[in-house]
Amino acid sequence: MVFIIGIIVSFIIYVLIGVVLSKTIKSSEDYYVSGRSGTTLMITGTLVASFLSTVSFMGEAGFSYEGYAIPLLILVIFNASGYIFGVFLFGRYLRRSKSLTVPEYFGNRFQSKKVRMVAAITTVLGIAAYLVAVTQGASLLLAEIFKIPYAMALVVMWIVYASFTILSGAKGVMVNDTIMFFIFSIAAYISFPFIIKSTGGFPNAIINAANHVGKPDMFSWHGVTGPSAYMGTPAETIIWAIILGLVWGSVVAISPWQSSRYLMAKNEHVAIRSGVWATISIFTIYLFLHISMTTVNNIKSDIAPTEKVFIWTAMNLVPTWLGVIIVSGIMAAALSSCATFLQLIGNSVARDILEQSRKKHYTDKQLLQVSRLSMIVVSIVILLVGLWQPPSVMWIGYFAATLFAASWGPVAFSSVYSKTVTKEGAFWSIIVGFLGVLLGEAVGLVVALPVYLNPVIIGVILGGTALVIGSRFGVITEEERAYQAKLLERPIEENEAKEMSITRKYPAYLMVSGVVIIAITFAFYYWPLSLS
Amino acid sequence: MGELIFSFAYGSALIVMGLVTRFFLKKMDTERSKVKSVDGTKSHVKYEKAV
Repeated sequence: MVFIIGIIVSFIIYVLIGVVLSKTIKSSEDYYVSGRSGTTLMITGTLVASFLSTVSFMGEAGFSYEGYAIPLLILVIFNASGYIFGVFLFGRYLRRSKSLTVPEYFGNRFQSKKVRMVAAITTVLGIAAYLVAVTQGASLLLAEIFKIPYAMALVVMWIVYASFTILSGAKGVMVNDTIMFFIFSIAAYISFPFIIKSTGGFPNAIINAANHVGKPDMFSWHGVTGPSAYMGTPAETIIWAIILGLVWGSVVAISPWQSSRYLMAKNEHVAIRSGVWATISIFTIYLFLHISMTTVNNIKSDIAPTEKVFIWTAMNLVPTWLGVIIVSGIMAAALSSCATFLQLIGNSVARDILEQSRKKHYTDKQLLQVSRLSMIVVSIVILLVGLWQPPSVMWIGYFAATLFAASWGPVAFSSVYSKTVTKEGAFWSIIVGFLGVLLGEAVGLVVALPVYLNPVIIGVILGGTALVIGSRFGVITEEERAYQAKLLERPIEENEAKEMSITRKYPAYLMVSGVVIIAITFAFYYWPLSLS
Repeated sequence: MGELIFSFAYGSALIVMGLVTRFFLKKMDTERSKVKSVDGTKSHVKYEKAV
């Protein structure tokens, strides 16, 4: 009962925040990018909250519980580094464009409506699929905790995230994301000592998990090697982790639900600092969460499906107050992603598709109305798809997320740096990259592809090739060159010297965090293993 | 051996990211003398052209 009360209270708070902040929405810029007023804390919160969802706290937690914590953490090394490369190589330039949506940036950069349109359509298709998958995952969890039918849980989820997103747009999403970021971060950090204590204490919890009879070598660098291993040989597992890590790193760097967060940043320094804090947050959250999930095997090694391991832990291994925070945190991670996804789809439908296809220019007030209306319609469609489509479609989430690496990756980076890419190249690269991933998935259904030929890799190769070949056609206009030159001009803030002196400390924050994490990893991972 | 490498590599990745960040910030510093302000653009309208 206490878990239900905790979730209900958190839901009411999110909706109330949406209602209150809706009264502060005065312009489309407020609604789309929160008036570009985001502080470092808020941009960090919305970056991490948009990234982490039920996939992280359920799917990946289960993956670690099965024995693959270390390969997953190796994946995170490459994945989270995408925040640093992303903000420096793409995010800060995107922010300079002062666009309201990422497709709008592509359209303006290449002075092409069709590039903007195709970027918007991929945004809507890709993110809608991801939104359905995350909503369904969270609804299954809600249904189980509340003991209500799945359809009812789906409607409850929809009411919560759609209400505050439609009412308050980016403002509500950013504030709620920050609150949710705190809730699931606390859940991951504070639960660590409690779980270690419950699963044998330190260092026995680690030693016993490493020597688990049913899942031998669970804490080895390549994951389990016993009868339940399903990731192939150790070498294949690590190649998989590195390739997927690089793919997810690109997703973190350029995907619409991550890069668009920089559009809300108060200035470029805030964007850079947020990228740094997001990197540190992901590294630490994953380390604590996945080491502790592996040790749960000491107490119970047959939780099925394994995705429920963190929820089972919340209800059985930690004090009730912490269990409530964990369950609320998992719901928060799901809701924050759903809200961001809905916001992006609704914005793209209104601004990039409806406005452009009708060849009319909305006034600010009209844009605000059309955006809200688009979000209502989109959210209803998502609800209906969620009700109609069978749940447990997490693979759709993985597919939808990673396809942006192939579809947008080559165009995003070259839009900033290349002086030879044309609108034809950009247009075909987005389409071919998108279709390349679909082709790879289709081939994978017929023939088992080697680990290095992941569908996303196929998409990236085809998309990159299309970019090069397509750029041989068409000419680069003066407007395109002028726009790109403007992007490359670094803005000087009013108090630039002060801002820069703060930002200059951030490399040290990363390095000190690295040293602390080495100490933690050595103490809580390698040293106990060396005793076993 | 792999476990030892991992226990150092995980945190070391953040140290490397710190060096990468420092590199980019130094590059920003050198760009600083060449640039002029584009901030103060309160609205997206300024950047809207045909698209």
